[in-house]
Amino acid sequence: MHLSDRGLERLASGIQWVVPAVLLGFGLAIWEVLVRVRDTPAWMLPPPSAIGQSLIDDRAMLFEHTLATAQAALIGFGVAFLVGVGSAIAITSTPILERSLYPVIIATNAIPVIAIAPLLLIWFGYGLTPKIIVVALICFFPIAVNTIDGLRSVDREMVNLLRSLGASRWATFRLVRFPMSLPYVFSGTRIAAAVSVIGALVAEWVGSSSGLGYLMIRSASQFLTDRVFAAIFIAALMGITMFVAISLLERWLLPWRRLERERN
Amino acid sequence: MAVNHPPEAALIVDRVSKTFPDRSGSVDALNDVNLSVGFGEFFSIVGPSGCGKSTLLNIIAGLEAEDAGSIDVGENGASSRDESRLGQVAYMPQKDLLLPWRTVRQNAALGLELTGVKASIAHERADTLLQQFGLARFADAYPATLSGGMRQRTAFLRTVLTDRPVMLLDEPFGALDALTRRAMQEWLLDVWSEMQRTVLLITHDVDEAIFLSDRVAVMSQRPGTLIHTHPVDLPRPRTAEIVTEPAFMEIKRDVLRDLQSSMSLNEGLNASQ
Ligand SMILES: Nc1ncnc2c1ncn2[C@@H]1O[C@H](COP(=O)(O)OP(=O)(O)O)[C@@H](O)[C@H]1O
Ligand SMILES: [Mg+2]
Repeated sequence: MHLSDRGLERLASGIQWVVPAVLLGFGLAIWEVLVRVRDTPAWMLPPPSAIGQSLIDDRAMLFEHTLATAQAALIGFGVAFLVGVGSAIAITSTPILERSLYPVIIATNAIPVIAIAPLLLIWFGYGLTPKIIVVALICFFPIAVNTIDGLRSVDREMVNLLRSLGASRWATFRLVRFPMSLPYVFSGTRIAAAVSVIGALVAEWVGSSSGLGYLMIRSASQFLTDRVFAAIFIAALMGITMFVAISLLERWLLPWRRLERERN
Repeated sequence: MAVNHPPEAALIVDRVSKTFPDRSGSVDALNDVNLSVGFGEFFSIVGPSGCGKSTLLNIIAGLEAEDAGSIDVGENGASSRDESRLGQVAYMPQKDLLLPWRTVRQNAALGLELTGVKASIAHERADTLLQQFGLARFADAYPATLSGGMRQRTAFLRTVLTDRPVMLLDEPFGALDALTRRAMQEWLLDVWSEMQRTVLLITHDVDEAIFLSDRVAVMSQRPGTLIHTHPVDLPRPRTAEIVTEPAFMEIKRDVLRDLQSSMSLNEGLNASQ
C-alpha cells in the first residue's frame, strides 16, 4: 500500500500521542503490580485502580471542590491578566513609570506567597477573596514580564515605516507594537494558566473550607490517600486543560505565527 | 512665515548635509546634496553602498533631521523641518517591512488606513489594485507564505496606495535574483505609467536606473554628494531589449565613468589625508 504525504503526517501525529499514552499505561501497570505484590497498605500508596475507584465513588464531592478551585484559579488568573497586561502597557509607554514600577513588578516575584497567605486570611477571612489574591499574585509576574519583553521587542524599522506614513503614537501601538507583543503575551499567559491552579491549591491549604486543596489536606489527615491522589489527578488535569485552551486560542488568534514557524 | 509660491518641482533638496555622531568621532554621511525632481518624473540615484543614499531618503521622509539645507516636498510650500514632513511622501524602505499579522490586502491598505480612510474602503481599493496588477490571488495570503518578489510587490503597492504625490523607493529590488528583478522592473514601469507619480529611486544597479528613469544622478562615496545628473532620452514605453541599444549603452558608459571617477577621487582624498 502507498501512503500519501498526508497519510504519513496523520500517522506521525498519531504516534505523537500514542507513545506517551503507552508509557503512561505502562507506568500505571507497574505501579499497580508492585503495590499488590508487595502488599503496600492503601493508606500509604493506593494502587491506580483504587484511585480510579475514588474518582467514581467520590465524584459528587470531588466535583463540588473542583468547582471551588476552578473559580478561584480562573478569577485570579483573569485579574492577573488584566493588571499584568495593563501595567506592562503603562510601563513601556511612560519612562517615569518604567523606572518606578518595573522594580515593583520584579519584587512581586520575590514575595513568598505561601508566607503571606496567612496574612491574607487575617485581612480577608476564609473565603474566595484571599484565594483570588494568591492566584493573581502568582500569575501576575509571568504575564507582566513577558508582555513587557514583547512590547520592548519593537522593530525600529517597522516603527519608522509607520512614522513615515504619518502614524500617531497610538496608531503605531495599535498596528505594530501591540500585535508584535502578542506571541510574548501568550507565552506568559500559558505559564500563568499552569501555575494558577497551584496558587489556588496553596491558598486552600493555608486556610479554606472548600476546594481541592482543602479536600487534599482533609483526606490526608483521615488517611484517605486514594482521595488525595484523585484530587491531585483532577488538579493536574485542570492545569493542563487551561494550558491547552490558551495554546488553542493562540493558534486561532495568531494564524500567522504558525505560518512563520513552518517557513523557518 | 512660509510664502506660498507655486512649486516648480515635486521635490526639492537644497544643500542638505548630514553628520552622524559615532563612537570614534563622527560620520559625514551627506555633504551638500542638491536635487530637484519634476512632477511625474522618474528620478534615480546610483551610488556605491554606504555613500548615504538611504540617509537621504530618511531625511526627505522626515525620519532623520538634516543638519543643514532644506527640503521642499511639493505643495507643502517652503522648506519644512523634518518632523513635519512625516506622512508627506510615500516611502518604501529597503526591507519590505510587511506586517506578519496582516494579509497582503491588509498590508497594501496600511498607508491608506493611516490617512484616515475607513478600513473597509481601504481594503476595497487595495483589492482593485491587486486585481489590476495580477496579485488578486494572494489577497488573503500572509507574508510568511510569499516569495521575495511577491513581498516586494506587496510593499510597493502599499507605497502606491499611500496616495502621496512623491514616492521614495530605496533599492526595492536589491534582494531579488536577476530574473525576478527584471520582471519587477517592467512591472514597476507598468504601475508607474498608469499612476503618473513622481518617483525618487535609489539603486546601485546602473542598468536598472537607466531602464526606469528620466534622469539618473550619480552619488559619490561618503560623504555622499550628487556629482552629475544624466538625462535618459530613451522613448517610452520601454521594453527589456532596450538595454542592448547603442543609446542605452552610451548613457551607461557615461554613468559608469562618473561612478568610477567619484570613487578614485575619494580614494585620492583619503590617501592625501
Ligand atoms: N543612524 C545612524 N547612526 C550612525 N551612522 C549612520 C546612521 N545611519 C547611517 N549611518 C552611516 O552613514 C553612512 C551612510 O549610510 P546609508 O545612508 O545607509 O548608506 P547607503 O544607503 O548608501 O548604503 C554609513 O556609513 C552608515 O554607517
Ligand atoms: Mg541603503
